[in-house]
Amino acid sequence: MNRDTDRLANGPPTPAEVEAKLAAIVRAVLDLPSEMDVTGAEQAAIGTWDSLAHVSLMLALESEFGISIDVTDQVRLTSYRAIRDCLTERR
Amino acid sequence: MNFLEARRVVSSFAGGPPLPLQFALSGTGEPFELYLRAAAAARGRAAEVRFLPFNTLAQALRREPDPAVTEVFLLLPWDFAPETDWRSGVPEAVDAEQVRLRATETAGLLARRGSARLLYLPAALPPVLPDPARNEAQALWLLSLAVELGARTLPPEAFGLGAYLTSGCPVGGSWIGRVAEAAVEAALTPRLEARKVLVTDLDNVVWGGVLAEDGLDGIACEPAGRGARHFVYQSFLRRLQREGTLLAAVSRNDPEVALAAFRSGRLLLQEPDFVAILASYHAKSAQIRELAEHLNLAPDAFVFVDDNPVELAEVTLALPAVPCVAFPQRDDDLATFLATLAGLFPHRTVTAEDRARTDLYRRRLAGLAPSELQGADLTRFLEGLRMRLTIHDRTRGDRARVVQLIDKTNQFNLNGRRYTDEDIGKILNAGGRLFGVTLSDRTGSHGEILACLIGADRVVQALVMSCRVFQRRVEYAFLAWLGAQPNPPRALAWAGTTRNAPLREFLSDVAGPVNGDGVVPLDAAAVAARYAADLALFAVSPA
Repeated sequence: MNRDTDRLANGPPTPAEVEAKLAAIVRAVLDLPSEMDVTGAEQAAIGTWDSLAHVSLMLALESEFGISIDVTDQVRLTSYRAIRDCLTERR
Repeated sequence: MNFLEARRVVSSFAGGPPLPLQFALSGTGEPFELYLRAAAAARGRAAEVRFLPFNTLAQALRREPDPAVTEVFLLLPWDFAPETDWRSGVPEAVDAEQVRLRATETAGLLARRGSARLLYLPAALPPVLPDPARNEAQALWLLSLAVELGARTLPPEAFGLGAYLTSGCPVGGSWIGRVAEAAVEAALTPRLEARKVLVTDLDNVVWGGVLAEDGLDGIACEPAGRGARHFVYQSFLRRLQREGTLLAAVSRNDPEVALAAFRSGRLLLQEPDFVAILASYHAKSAQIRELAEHLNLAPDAFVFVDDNPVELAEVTLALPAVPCVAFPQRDDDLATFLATLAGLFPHRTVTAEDRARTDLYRRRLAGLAPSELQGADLTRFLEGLRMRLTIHDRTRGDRARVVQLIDKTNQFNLNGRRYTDEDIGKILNAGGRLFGVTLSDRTGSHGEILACLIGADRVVQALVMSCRVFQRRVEYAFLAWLGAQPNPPRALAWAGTTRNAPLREFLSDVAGPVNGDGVVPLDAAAVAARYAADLALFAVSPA
């Protein structure tokens, strides 16, 4: 509730803010180094991005952005780029 | 708290007292870990979180809880009625009666975990019954089952069907932080013990109007019209009293005026329903304090009801441990008011002892030693009460009252440890002994007022006594009797609590100064000799 109020007060996050949060979430959930550029990250290329980490990633995105990600979306959000595009569409 | 904030809170947390936590749910619990640790850290606690393996909640309920860990259950409808689990699909047919039987059995298992905190998430159910109306009724019945167990209800929208079907985690990401907050809040909130005494004002509360001004004929207390609110309140007090709550009245009136109302026959409540009716012009906090001393109860056992904000403020300031509840000025506020009181006086079970409590305390007040009596005078006073102790060996047979006494007594309690009937059964099966003591005197019976559980190693594990018989030397007499029996106890398992100072004083008398918690040795023969005079105050008989 407070988050919604804050969001209304501060306005929607800018694309740069969304990207910064997304990168932080991806690094945190997948246990990647803080200096790593994750904008090209794909599930197939990152060893720690297993099915369990994918569930954690989806839940973290839902938590952070206050959204609900349907199963059909979850199965295709297997890269940083796909997630970013999905978040952009929902804004 | 969202994901990144939870990470920040956890990583910047400098540490604090541990909070061992078992977060029990039938689905996947691991996604909650970060949020539980963050919610605890935000409250200065270092959560040590454990989860159950997936889908093992039913088995966990059949195991003994670990007393060192606070259990928080996140319950869903299918934990009571597995047929309603979305992950199993919609069953071909469901026997609604069987569903209810199984659900009731699960509720029974949960009810036995007295210290567990329960959260209930009333998730939407799949249409398992052919009639949508019956399906909805089933959902409401399951909700009522959880509420009856004392579960805190979460918003239904916290359930995420997508998350549940995908990962087994029943809460979607946008709610997970809030559910974790509720879980930690529940874990850190002490379970409220029922209050014991409801102290009520009279004018414009028990009846409508001011007795001294309006006269007996001018007050309103009938079920309809001006008196309706007061009639309903009286009927509620009557129910509380029958369940074991002590009622007391404090009123700024002349005593004979207040009593005349109860003797008029116009009121639902009668004078004997009250343990005391105090009518004086002293401050109400002073009257409550005096009553607490006479009943040997701490102020936090009391609740005060008045319609006057000044009186409420005066009691709140003088006795902060006493919850003060304002009597409603409008009929529309009556339901909330009664719900508040009901929450302060929950009674899950009602025993014969509960029903007789007012009489027992009235006798206690009648037999109370005047405070100025000391030494020989006090002994003469106690001798004049013609007290009789009946000592029951409860090692075999019915022990329900003794278990309840151990479970409910706070002040005269050896260590504050709570035991289930099953716990006590195990100690007795291993060679332990259990005693219950009944006290009576010239004023009548005070019921079973003392319980003592001794382990096979002759260490007293539990010793409790009802505070309504303080000052009568019962505890010294019982220990003198016990010390003279074959295989007397060799020690007592003492632990200090915030409320058992009376037991500490007693223990210091009988076993020497108490330093820290632990097993305190007892010289039984010396105790039997030293307190023989106390034992002589009683006629003692085995049951």
